[in-house]
Amino acid sequence: MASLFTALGTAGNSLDAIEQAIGVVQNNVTNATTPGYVTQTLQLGARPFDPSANLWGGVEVTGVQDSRDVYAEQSVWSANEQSGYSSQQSASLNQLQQIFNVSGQSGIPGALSNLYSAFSAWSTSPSNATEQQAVITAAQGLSTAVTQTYAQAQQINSDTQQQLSASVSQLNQYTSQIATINGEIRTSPTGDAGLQAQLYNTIEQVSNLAPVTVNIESDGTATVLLDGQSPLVQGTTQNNVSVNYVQPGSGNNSGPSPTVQLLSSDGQDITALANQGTIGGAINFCNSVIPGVLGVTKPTPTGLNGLANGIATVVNNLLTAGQVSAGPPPVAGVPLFSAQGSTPGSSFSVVASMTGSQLAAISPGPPAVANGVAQALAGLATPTNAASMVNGFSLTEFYGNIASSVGQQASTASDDVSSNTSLLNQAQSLRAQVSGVSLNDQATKLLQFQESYQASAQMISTINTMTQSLLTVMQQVT
Amino acid sequence: MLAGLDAYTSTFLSNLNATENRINQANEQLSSGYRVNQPSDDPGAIDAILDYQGQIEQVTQTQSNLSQATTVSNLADSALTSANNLLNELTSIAAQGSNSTSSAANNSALGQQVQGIEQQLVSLANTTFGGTYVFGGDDATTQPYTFDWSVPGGVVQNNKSSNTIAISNSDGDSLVIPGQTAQQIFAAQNSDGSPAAGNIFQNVWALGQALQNNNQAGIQAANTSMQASIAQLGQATTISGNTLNWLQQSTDSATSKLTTLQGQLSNLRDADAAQAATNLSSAETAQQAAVAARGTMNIKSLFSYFG
Repeated sequence: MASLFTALGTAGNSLDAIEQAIGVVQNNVTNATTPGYVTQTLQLGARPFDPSANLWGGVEVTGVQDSRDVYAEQSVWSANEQSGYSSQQSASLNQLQQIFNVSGQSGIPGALSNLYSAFSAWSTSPSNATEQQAVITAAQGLSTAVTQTYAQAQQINSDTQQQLSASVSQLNQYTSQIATINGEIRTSPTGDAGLQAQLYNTIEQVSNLAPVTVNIESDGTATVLLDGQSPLVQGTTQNNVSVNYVQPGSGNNSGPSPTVQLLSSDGQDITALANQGTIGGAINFCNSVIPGVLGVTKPTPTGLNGLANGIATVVNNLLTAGQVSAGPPPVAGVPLFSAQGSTPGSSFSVVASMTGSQLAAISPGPPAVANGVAQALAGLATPTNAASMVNGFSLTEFYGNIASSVGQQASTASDDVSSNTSLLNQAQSLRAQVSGVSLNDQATKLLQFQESYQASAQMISTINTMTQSLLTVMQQVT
Repeated sequence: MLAGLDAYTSTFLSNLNATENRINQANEQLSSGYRVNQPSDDPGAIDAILDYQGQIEQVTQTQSNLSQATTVSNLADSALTSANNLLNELTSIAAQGSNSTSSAANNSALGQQVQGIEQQLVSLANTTFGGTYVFGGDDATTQPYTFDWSVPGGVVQNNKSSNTIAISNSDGDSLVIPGQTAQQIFAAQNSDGSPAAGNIFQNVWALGQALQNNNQAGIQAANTSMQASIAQLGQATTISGNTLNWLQQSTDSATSKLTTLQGQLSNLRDADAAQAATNLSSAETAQQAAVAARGTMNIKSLFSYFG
């Protein structure tokens, strides 16, 4: 009789355990598409069974197992960091390359060609006022083309800086969320799948912004470090990062544009650590790509500043060595272009007081040639001596090198976006296979538990019938 | 995270995105006609494209310079032809004047004619084009000569500049246009500045003076020196002919160079329209197929079969 009641109790307990298991399946199915959620499995264990020792077995719940694979998560984060970096680079470079005309018919190369043509037409008739004015107009066209391109590059730089600021404040928001989740993890039962899902989903968002290293502590909280070094979140403490712009000419910025510094909450320069993610991509664009495009005038002329300075130097040198009139007394030539300061790309202009009649066409020789300078200026299109070149290149080639360098970087960034996106997809797919919710698995489990539940219920019903029979027999005996 | 059934959604989306990029690229190539529309399309070709485009602009400008120079040179050449006709006329006048039967009054009238011809020659030396003097040399805005029968030579020289203004062709050669100045053609001088034997103004003036004064010896001498002037003008005509030849050759050469450059640029920059159209159509087909397949995909799990 005692064993019958024990069997009845054991069967009842098993119904409890199976109900819990069905609860876990239900939670898995409903969270199948929740970001960060991984399959939970209820651990069932057999109780000790030894009838001789009056141990009647049964089933018990030993815990909930989490299918999360930290290596799969890490490979997703790492792919996400690279994908964020190349996406940001590609977006900014794609905007930047639009300002570089490569047809040769407009923009800076078109304006250069127009100026060469105006010089050439003027050289056939150096005293013709119409041709002289055409040279001045073409020169103004060139200065406008250069300063416009320069201003557009600066505008794209400032747009990227704004995106960077937005990314940094998003990073701070996410790390603050992680600190809050850490606090909740400390006070909640271990292994709360919902909190875990929130935590890992937020870390994944962070990894798109910057390179992070995550350590899961013994209390289940996540410590998040920027590139393994600068702490962003420790327990419930969050460290904000901020952006600082070092203006040209101040600090150690000798470049043409503001450089970006990423500062930790205690003011340390952690720029070098942010080498991935959208923040890394934006920093690289502002600190490396844009200064390369804007360029410097010395020691080696580069970028648009080098170009503006180069045009002014080459053209002005020829004009000032020439004569406006052979005299007597001879009237020396005057400069056509003004390219002042360390960023001539932004101030490049035609000298305000310059008029067509002040253009020096005469090369004094000997022998003097009435259109010698004008011809030399027209010849700048295909220069043959170093004095007519900038850093060994014709003016058009110098421009072409800037455009081609931007194009190369844009092309590489675009290829990187494709390959990094597919790497990220692979990593995500792998993670989903390892720890994602498989509806087929859950359906199978549901069927199994349903069967078990029915069987256990049948057991209770059968034992109940047996107990009833025994009681009837007992009544008849008495 | 959902596993198994739909793990490849993101892969599908990025592949679809890549297909759309191919459609956009093919569209851009077809609508612009260019293979290289932005630097990243072919960074390595940019220098060469800009170089060819720059050379095309340069050759086009050279063509325009050559065309203007041809106009000026044709004007100069026709001035020389007119001058040659006038010199031939003078030869016959000199022959009439040196005829012993010619009276003093007749000779004086002939002298008047010669004076008129001298004036016409001065006009030819002062031929203008677009406000500048064709034979003015470097100082093309100053009239070379003023007619003045009262001074020796019959002219006053206003412009002594030489001509150094050369124009360049697309082969790297250059030539002074037109070849000679008014002084070189009409008033040739010896190195000491005295009139040379072939000095046209001087010889015509001397003939006119001799006729007006009925100076037979002078008329004879002037008749002889007219031959030197005709030879002088012949040289100028030869130079002018050479100049026109050079201009014609240079124009032909520029045209052929332009054609070559445009071909080279086109090879490098222009889209292969047939290829782009094929690319567009294949990418569009791929996109439609992918979207249609995805749309009809019947994603089911075991749950779908539960009663």
